[in-house]
Amino acid sequence: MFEQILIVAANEIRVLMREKTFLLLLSVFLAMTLFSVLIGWSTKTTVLGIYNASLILLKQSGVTHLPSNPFIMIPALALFRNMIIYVFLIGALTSVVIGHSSFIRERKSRVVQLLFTKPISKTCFIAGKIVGILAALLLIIFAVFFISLLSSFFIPGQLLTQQEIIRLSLFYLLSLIYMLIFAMIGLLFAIVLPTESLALLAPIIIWVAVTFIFPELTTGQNPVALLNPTNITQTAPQGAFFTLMHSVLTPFSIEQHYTGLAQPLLETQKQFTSLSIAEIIAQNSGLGISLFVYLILAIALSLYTFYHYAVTRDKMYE
Amino acid sequence: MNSLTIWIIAQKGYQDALKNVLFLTLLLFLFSLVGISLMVSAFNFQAQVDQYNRAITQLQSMGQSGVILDKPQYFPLQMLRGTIEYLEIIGAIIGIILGYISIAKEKGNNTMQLILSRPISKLSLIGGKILGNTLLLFSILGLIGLFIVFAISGIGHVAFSQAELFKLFLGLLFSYLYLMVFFCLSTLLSLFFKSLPNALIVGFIIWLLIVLIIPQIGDTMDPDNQVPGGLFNSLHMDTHQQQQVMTNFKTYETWRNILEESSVEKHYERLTFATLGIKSIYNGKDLRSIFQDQWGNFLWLIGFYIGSIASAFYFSNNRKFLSKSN
Amino acid sequence: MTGKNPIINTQDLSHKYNNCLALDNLNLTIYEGEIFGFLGHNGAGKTTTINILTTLLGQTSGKATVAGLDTIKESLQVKRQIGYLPENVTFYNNLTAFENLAYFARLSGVKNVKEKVAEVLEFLDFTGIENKKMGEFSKGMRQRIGIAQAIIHDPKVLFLDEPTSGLDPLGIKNLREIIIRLNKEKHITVFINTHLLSEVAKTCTSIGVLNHGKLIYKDTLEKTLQKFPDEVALEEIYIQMESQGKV
Repeated sequence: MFEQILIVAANEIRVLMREKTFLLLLSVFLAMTLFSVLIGWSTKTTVLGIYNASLILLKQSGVTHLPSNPFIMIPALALFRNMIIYVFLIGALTSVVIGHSSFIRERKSRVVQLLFTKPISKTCFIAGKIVGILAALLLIIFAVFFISLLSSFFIPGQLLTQQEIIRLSLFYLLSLIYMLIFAMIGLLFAIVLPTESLALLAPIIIWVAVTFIFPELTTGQNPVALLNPTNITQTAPQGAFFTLMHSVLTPFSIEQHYTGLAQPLLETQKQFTSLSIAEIIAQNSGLGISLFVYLILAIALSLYTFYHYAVTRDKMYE
Repeated sequence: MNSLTIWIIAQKGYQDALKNVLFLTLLLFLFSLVGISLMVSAFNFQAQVDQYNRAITQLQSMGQSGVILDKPQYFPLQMLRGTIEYLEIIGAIIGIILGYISIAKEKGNNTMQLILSRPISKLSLIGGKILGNTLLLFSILGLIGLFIVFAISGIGHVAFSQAELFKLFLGLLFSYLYLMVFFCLSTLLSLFFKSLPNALIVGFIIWLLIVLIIPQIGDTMDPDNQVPGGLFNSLHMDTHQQQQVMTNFKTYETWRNILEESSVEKHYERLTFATLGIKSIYNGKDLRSIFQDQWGNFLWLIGFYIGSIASAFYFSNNRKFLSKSN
Repeated sequence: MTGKNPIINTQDLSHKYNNCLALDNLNLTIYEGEIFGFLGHNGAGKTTTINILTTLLGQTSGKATVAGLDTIKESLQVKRQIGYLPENVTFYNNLTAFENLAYFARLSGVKNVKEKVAEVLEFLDFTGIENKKMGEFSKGMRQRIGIAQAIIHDPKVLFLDEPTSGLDPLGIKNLREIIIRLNKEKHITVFINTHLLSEVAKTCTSIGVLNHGKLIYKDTLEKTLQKFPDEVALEEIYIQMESQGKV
């Protein structure tokens, strides 16, 4: 049984690695990871330069009480804070495509008809698919993690402490869970919807809703403002409408659950630096549990629809 | 090119889209988003007014006059920030879907060969598609415009002035130019990719880069955004001093600018935000002074529009696009 | 070489799609070693029958066994005994022929995958294409890989659904030879859904005719030709039976 799961999973990865669209998305994700560190570094250098230039100017104009370096208070991990945004933008979209293509591929090539006449149970088959998807995401996360770590060695003044490496690893573990949820949503629609383009668009609509609409409704922030890493807020503005939306929609707004946990882990703001990992987890356990619940829900729904998938009635052709 | 055949193809393109579940779903989605964003703006404004009133009562209860506080002012067009941002994000997806449909419909049933076996040039075919979808986008944006006018006059109980209506019209016109860029991009991708769904995925990747990632990088590279509350604020510096300091960091700023200019989204956003007065310094100004500032973005937007339409014509005529999808 | 042991057996097999009776009390027995041609108009229920026998679909009522195994209760065991080639399969286009075959072989529990793939391709006279991507294959080449995946685990019964559709005359001839060799050399019972009568006459040892879900005729090819000595072609027998609704 385990052998069969592994056979399916291995095939999943082999096919995925030959898909150009996946490779393109993967390279965008990896390039952005590398790029985000470079941008972070160059911005930091520039800002320090600006600070020093400002000091000179302020001294010349006779200001005696000089402000302290605002960057001193920003921790090294904040260099990776753009990754939060790249995970919920590119990471989630990549995951949707992985989950989507995982089953659409078999449907449109009619291979699914062959597979279902092979001596492998439906459970082993779908388990193999999910293991394959998980393995693909793990590979991506490892690659991204590796790039982050490596770059921290090469950028002056950015060597991470042991504690910071643990935080970074936890952040990537969290990202893996978040991405897996979207992969499962992609898989789910690839099983139920009748055409390939609908099956691709439906999870993308959910992704847009989760990434832009729910946060807007619960925080009153405009969609584009949500992409500024120093700007991400979780609290509702005053007013009965937002209070209502906040209480109704927040449980569904999984992107906010993700950022809510990711921000303190990556110390995006000063107040987070004093928190230990244990404290972060204790304070945000609700968010973590909710992400797990959504993951299990998405897997359960995929399984349910898969068991009810009628291969002989599927009209999808290539 | 024959104007009659173009017109026939245009009509067909219009009808195809209206029968497409995918497109209709997205359209419904976009309309709900416009509604949601207007609602959020309205409630945000309400929250500001409430806060102002509370502050006034508090001041008065302490025996002070409330005149030192500015009353939040209601500018209908400023309520459109969310709407424009959704047009930037979801509108672009609609453009991509429309481009995809316009080709997928023909390729999927192999009617492309049928059409091209009639006395119709490829140029008329593409021209027809562009015209049909232009009409479609005009209808959609027109409806959104009407919706905005009714919703906002309803929320604020203030009618639009003529000047405001004209600015709204311009804003929607810029939106059309912006959406057409994505339409043409997606049409070309669908023509060239053997597998149509792959064209759609690549379209989404480009969308992600142009609409979300490049502007986001530009934003994070903004030194002022690096420190919560603003770098210069935390240094207690005024605008003049800021400019003086920033002259030393020209190269960095140039790179940031090049990055932002490369995305059509940024030009659309800057131009529309200025025209509608969403960016406060342009609020209430007349169009002439706005355009004195914004002609660069306007030219960029027009340039992207003309460029993408020209490449749609150029490439569809220069490469074979009969290749059957499999 | 028709033996006495039944290998496929259905008893009052029926299937309903939304109140529409696709298969109506089918009683069919096919013996070991036969090449059975299943004829019928479009929508007669041929594919429904094959779907039930290959365990893809559950029947509404009745019973079906393949190699003595119940298609519902013992579906996994049935799957070990059968090979199936549905219509219009295109495989994993980005994988090579070998990778495709190896995957299906492994799923069927084949251990010595490399040797087995080589053996099957040798049998089909189709060597040298192992490392080519399936996306580059013609319809006829894909059909051969389709047969290869269906026989790689040495099944007892091979099901083919409209195997000749889309093939050119040479491809059809090659396929016919392969089917006959599989039957003779590997002793595989073959079940073919088709509406190409000329094929049935050249390949099959027995035929069945399905009309609107009902089996209206079943006999060996030899006896069929004896029963209708006046008719020149099988086609006319078929049209005659179809128009009468039964024999």
